[in-house]
Amino acid sequence: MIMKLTFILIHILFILTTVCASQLDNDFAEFEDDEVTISSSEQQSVPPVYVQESPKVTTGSEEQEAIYEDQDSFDFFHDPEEFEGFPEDEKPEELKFFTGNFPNAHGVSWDGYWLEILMVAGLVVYFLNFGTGKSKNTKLANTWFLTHKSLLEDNFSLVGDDTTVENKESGALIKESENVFTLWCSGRVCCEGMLVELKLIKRQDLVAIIAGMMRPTMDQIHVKVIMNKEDMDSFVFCVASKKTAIHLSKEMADISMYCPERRPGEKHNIPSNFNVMCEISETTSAILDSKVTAVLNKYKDLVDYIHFSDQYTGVKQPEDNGQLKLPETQKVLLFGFNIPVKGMTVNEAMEHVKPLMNMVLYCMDKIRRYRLSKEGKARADKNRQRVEEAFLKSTHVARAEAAAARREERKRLEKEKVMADADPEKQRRWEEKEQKRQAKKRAPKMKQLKVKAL
Amino acid sequence: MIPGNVDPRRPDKVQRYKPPASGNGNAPGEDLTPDYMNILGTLSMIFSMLGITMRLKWCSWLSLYCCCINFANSRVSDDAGNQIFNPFVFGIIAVVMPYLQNPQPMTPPWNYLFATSQ
Repeated sequence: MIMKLTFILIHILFILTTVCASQLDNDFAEFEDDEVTISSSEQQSVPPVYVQESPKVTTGSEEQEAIYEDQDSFDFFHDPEEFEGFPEDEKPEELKFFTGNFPNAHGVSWDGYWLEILMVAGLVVYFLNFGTGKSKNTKLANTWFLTHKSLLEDNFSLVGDDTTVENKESGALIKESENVFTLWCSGRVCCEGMLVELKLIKRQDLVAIIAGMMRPTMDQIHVKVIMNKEDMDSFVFCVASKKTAIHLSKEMADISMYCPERRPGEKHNIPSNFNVMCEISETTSAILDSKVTAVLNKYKDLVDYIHFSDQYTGVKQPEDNGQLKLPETQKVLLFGFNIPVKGMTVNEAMEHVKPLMNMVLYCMDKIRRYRLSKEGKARADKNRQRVEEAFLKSTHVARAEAAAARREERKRLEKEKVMADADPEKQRRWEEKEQKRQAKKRAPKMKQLKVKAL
Repeated sequence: MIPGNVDPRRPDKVQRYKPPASGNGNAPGEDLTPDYMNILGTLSMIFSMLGITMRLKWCSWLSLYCCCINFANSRVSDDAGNQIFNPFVFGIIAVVMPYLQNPQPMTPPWNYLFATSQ
């Protein structure tokens, strides 16, 4: 709908610019006339263009008249003295010449408008690219969905919960923008739901494509599984490709707090382009079992990150944002995969990444069964307590201030209420009561001071 | 599928999809997008205002380009139609107006630069 309207608007723009240009034609027409008169007076200075014509042209009466009219300029052709010494049979052919001032067919040259033409051409190219990019992204998303549909339907009662009515064009997938599609699946043992997010390259945006040439990006699948509270033990674990690992350890609140240390992947039998970040070491060996290791080895370029966390709060918040409560945590399994679009067809690419979705389901069941050892659990609890204490410590001043502000506010409201009351007796009583309260508040302090002084 | 071939589906545990609140990024780098969009939207507005008031044609064209990029990157949501479309119309008006007033070809901004440096 918006596309259509946009095209119409572009059309209008075109028409308007053409109208402007035609107006320009008329404006310039006066000047053209002037030019013509000037040039006819300056005829001699303009280099003439000679055109050959057949010698018998002059026989027509009209032509004769024309020649008589232009006798002033042409009579040297008929002057016998001009052709002295010329052989009679090689008499020069009749020559006619124009003055060189051709009237412009369009009245105005478009040369001056090269920037405008460039701009409009740019817009047209942008929108053509928008159309093709959009359709390519939709095709990719739909192919992904069709490829994974049976697998997801075997595992989830609900595949694709579309809360909006308009987004029907891409089936169960929700279109967030032209390059982001999401799919919600729910109704499975051990998890509340799974959100699959297809983050494709911004093919619809020419600027992003040019930026992509400088800094290549890939189509990505982000999977977020929200686990039930009782179906996941407390630990934070992450395997990520080196570049992403650096990013995650800085950005994600849970990784930066619980396991900022990045270890190379070779130690855990996974390719060296991976880094492992783990809160409790025993989880690493448990999670990276033979199956997961095999997948990581086979698809080392396609796995971007695997992040399991019971303390997931999203991206790290700035410290001075005045938050007084620890943000609510979620037990989640996060996966990020790249889609290899280059060198294979869309269908092949989607079939190629299908085993990764199997791994997601395998990990869900594995995490559901996995429990930490006693020592591990104790360590995890200790870590969580440590983080909480550190947070409380850091927000102590802010919390005290907030509490004071709340108290002040309560008092102010109470005072307003009393003052609003018409009864002066009541007001007087309240003031007395307030004074007593103040005095009482100060009194024990004085006592303490005295004791200290003694 | 669970290895034991038990059906893992639980129709009684189905939960509806709750769209994440804005600003609560669940993947790295997600927060950047809305900011980028806001900047583009504001830029297009500023350029179209400049184009109309100062009669700088290149500003008008820039605003139109900003609108296009904004439009291509916009999120599909209920109010998106209005939010994207208004700057678009504004941008087009900003382009048309200076040409109606003065149909001369546009003077590129670098011309001013050269003029001042000489």
